[in-house]
Amino acid sequence: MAGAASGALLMERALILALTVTAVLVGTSAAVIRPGVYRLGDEGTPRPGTGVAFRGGYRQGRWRSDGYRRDWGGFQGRGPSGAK
Amino acid sequence: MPQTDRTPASAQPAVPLVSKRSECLRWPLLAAVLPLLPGVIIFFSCFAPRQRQFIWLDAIDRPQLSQPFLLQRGVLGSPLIDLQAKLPANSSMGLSVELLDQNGDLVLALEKEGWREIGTWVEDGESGTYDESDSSLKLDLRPISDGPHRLRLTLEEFSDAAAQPLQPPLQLQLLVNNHSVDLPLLLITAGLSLLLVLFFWQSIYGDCRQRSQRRLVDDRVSSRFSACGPGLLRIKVLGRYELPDRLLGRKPEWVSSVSLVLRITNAWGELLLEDQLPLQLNKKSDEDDTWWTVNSGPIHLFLGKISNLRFWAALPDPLANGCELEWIELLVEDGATTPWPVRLRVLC
Repeated sequence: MAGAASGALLMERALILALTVTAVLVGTSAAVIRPGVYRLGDEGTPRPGTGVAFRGGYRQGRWRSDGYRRDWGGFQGRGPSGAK
Repeated sequence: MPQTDRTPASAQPAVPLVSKRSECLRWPLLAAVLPLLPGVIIFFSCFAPRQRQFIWLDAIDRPQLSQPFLLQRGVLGSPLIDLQAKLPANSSMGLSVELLDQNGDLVLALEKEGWREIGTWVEDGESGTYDESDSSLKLDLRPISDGPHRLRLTLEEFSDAAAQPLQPPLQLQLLVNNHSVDLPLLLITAGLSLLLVLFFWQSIYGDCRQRSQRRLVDDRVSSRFSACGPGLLRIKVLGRYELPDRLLGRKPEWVSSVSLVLRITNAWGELLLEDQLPLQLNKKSDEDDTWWTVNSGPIHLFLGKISNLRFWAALPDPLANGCELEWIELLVEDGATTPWPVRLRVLC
């Protein structure tokens, strides 16, 4: 009975340790290798940030401009949303 | 093999503190390295080489080429193009950004709308200033092929808060890092792995059996049970002193410590350990009351075989300054493991 409990405890510890090592290896390697980063030539565009619009996109490995030019709206101050 | 002192059961009731003993597991502490690994990578990423240049856009609708900068599809990190506009207060811009490869071919085109606002805020009688902006462009991407690239930048719109045109120039800072890492993911990894390591340590160092926890309104407490097996015995004694009602309002004389008497006997009544330990009195108070607590901290014992033991602890009551013991508590655990060697008493 005590042996079974001890075995379960060892299994639990090994599982937690294996989970920790896996989390560190997967998280760290993904953060360094960055497999999700857009590569020029892939379909579409990189992920746009705020206030960014792409003037075209990749189709079949080639950049296709859409010829669109924005009509700039001028100053659009947002107020002290995060200042306080 | 570290030395331990073994005290005969009956010859010397008062057992002195003895040397350290290797009844501890140290290797799990190595798991602390795991959460540090993402931090080490963040540290070294701060020293990754960066290509920096400043670009002045001195007219509306006049394209300006940057100096060539190298883009690499490295395995360690990915290229990050960071373009920061130095906008004046309360202004906005419309910027056309084109990325050209080493042959001068267009490989990416975008537009960036930026603004900066400075002002004061007033709310509920308080006020302050704010300076908010969206004037930077960050591009995470890998090039089609390694080599020098350029940016062709065109300022298409530059105006103030009243939509009146502003006179260029506008300064831009371009930073290119070919080995940028995913900082939020590294921080999440470090936090998650730290949590898991704490679980792991808890599963080892927190894994003990609580054999007795008794709190009595008395000056002594005792408990008897069969204890030990693998690991250590751990005892903790707590107590609380208060001024009796008849002495309320008086300022009691200063008493810094009390003496805890601890005895352990076996099933035949033989004395295995008798010790007196000075315990510090800690003053506590709230709006209505003042009291003093004592805490022995963990007292570690080693017992080689399972035995039926009686644990007995007593605190002085009352103290010389009139304080009376409200309660005494005895906590006994066995099967305890420690991360480092502890001062240990050995029972025979």
